[in-house]
Amino acid sequence: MKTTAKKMFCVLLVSFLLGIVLTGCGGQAPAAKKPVAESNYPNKPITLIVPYSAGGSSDVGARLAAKRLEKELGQPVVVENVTGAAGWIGWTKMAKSKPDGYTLSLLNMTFITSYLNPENKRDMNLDSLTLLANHVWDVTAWAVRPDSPYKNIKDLMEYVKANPGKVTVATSGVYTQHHIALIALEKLGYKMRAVHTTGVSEALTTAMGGHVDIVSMGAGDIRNAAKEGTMRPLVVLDKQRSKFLPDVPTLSESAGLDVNAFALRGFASPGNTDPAAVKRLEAAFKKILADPEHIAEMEKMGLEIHYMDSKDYKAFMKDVEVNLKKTMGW
Amino acid sequence: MESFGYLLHGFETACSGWNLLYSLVGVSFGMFVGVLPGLGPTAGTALLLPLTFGMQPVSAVIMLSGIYYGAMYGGTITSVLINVPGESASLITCMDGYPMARQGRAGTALGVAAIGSFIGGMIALAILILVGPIVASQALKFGPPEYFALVVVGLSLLIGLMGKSLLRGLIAALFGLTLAFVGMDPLTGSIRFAFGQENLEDGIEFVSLAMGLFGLSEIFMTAEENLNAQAAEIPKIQNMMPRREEWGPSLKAILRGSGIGVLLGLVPGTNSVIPTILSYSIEKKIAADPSRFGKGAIEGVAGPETANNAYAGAALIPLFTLGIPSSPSIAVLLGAFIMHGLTPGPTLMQRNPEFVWGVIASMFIGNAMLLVMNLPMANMWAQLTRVPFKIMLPNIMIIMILGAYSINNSLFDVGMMLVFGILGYFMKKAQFPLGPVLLTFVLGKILESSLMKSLTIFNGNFLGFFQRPISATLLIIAITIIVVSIYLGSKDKGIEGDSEI
Repeated sequence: MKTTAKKMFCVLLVSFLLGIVLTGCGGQAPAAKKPVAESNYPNKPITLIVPYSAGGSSDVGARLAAKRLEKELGQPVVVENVTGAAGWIGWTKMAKSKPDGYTLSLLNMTFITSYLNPENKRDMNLDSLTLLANHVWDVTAWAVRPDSPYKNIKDLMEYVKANPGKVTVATSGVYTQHHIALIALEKLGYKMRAVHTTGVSEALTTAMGGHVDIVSMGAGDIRNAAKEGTMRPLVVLDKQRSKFLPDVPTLSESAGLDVNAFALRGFASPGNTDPAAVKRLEAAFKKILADPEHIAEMEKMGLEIHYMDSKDYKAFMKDVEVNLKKTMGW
Repeated sequence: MESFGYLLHGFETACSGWNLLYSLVGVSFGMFVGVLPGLGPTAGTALLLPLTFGMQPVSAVIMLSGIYYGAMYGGTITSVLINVPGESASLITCMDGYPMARQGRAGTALGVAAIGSFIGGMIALAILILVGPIVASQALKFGPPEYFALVVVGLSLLIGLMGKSLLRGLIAALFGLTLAFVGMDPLTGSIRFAFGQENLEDGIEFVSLAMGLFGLSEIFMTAEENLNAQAAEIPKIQNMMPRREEWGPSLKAILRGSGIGVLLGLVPGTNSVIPTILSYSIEKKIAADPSRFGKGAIEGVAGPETANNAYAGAALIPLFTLGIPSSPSIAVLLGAFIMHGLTPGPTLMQRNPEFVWGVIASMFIGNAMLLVMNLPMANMWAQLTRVPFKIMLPNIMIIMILGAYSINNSLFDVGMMLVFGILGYFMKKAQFPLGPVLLTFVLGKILESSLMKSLTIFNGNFLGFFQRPISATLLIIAITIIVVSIYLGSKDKGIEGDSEI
């Protein structure tokens, strides 16, 4: 009988260890090698650091791109989730690695918010990195419950102006683009109260339950809620309408307010990355981000692709930095 | 009925080859940690949580919940056979289970416990199927103020039921609340208590905390106390079925136990020990001859063993519908949901029906597997108590360290687990209950953020909580609980609520 028990235990143990091994190597079959034209980059696997946990929208989007990058470059692209400090730990790890083009990371716009906020005492900024290409442009939109008294954005903004601090807006967290847009609006004389939830889905249910007046989310997420009929989209906070909500007006066209809110997700590598590698990566990103299949799979997730090359991306992010500084007074 | 159709789909999910296997692995591992004195469902679920990374969310939760209710079955075996509870929910089973074993009726004690556990589990599942969707459809009415009030009820119950070690329990609960503060302030975005450590900015990693406090500390304790202990004599298991005249009272005890377990499962802040104690004291109170208890009364085994399983099933209702964990083990399950990108709460049942019903269906299957494991195969599990600790413990530790590392690919988490393991060891030595630490850690985060959100909604007016019917009722209940327990505390204490291990 003693041996039975031991056997049982061994079987259990082996299966757990096997489990560990299996989860460890989530099936990264090396892609077939293709001849590379100019330099010999890349000639070994590339690591893509995702500074958020696996399974989230940032992670899935980055993994979809990584899969295509792998095909394009002919080298495995290994996604590594390095989480913590709202992304900063992953970015630090990337920035401290060799600038040879073999370590990249997903770069979120919150990178800028994080170092601008003097309370955080960060030791890097945009100039510490090489920006490669922008991937996603996530436009913010507002929605209300179908039975909400706010029929259109014009009425709402007039009400807000007349009743400062009366209307509540659910955001997915403090210092998100949703929150910062509300601060910008307050400066223009439109004061609303931000209710910071712990994430997009909580923000949505809080608004669905009628506990707050408005929810501020990505346009793709609002499209899904509108399809279910649980929420009614009100406005898009961008210069032009979103392709996810073509019938929904922008804040500037209907209320004459020039406040935009969006999130950018792109790819970066350590500062002074080898120019040959940057060139190769830039070209590769340009190609895969124009791939209709990739555009379609990202759209399915409610994410819009907006390619920018290294130079444009950097210039745009610098612009974002200037605007953030102004709005937040940092 | 709509639920019924969903449930059939659920069975389709749960019966697919891999999920069936995961269910089997889950309940077997649950039996395993249940049988092992020390390691309980909380440590067991936390242990396997990191290993589910690459799995489908539904498979992961099928396996982890299997551990959780499987442990409720497994804990009985050692309680009855060697008078050592395998996990704390089976503590009370020692009272009459062991005397039954001494009378040569170990088989009957295990048999009635297995049958009771099965019936309790089934009743809880039936309630979950019937009540779950109704609660879920109303759950949107739960806004931040209602969450705040519900957590306050939970915390006041936690304190009210702490029993003899009130002071220690309070310290443990406050410690958990303090740990919940570490990280970013949800309202202002300031970083608190991180001591300049970027690794602490997102707060303390829940899995490190749970595995350290519950798993490692227990391994340290066992290593210290009986690493080289001789295996206990195991009585023979035979005649699993109760005698004919015992069926009636046993079944009644089982039904009462189910009711108690289901009711308490709905309340946050309880743990699986409380329903067992309550069931035992009720059985004793209404028995014609209370003197039989403690000497091998079959109702004293049937009632509590049923209650803890019914509790385990019913505790999933607040988890699925509101995302509120009622006990430390459920808190670990909540961690698994979040890790897999699922948000337990009002929309879970509508958005992910295949997930919810797949898990529910798997629990029917898992309970049936457990019934088989516990009736014809009870003897085999009993042998598990004879595996030497010096082989078992190092292996478990290896898995834990790998697990802690794999959460964020970070050695910092491993270090944190070790720190909490050592801390947990000393807390155990000083007889601090550890359950409240974990529970208030999880509830504390919900408490703080819902309070902040509520106050923003109310524009800073505290009375707003009393202007909404649900939150007002809940807060009044909480105040009543506190007043009553202070009143009772000034007299004699009723219930000894040990923490769930």
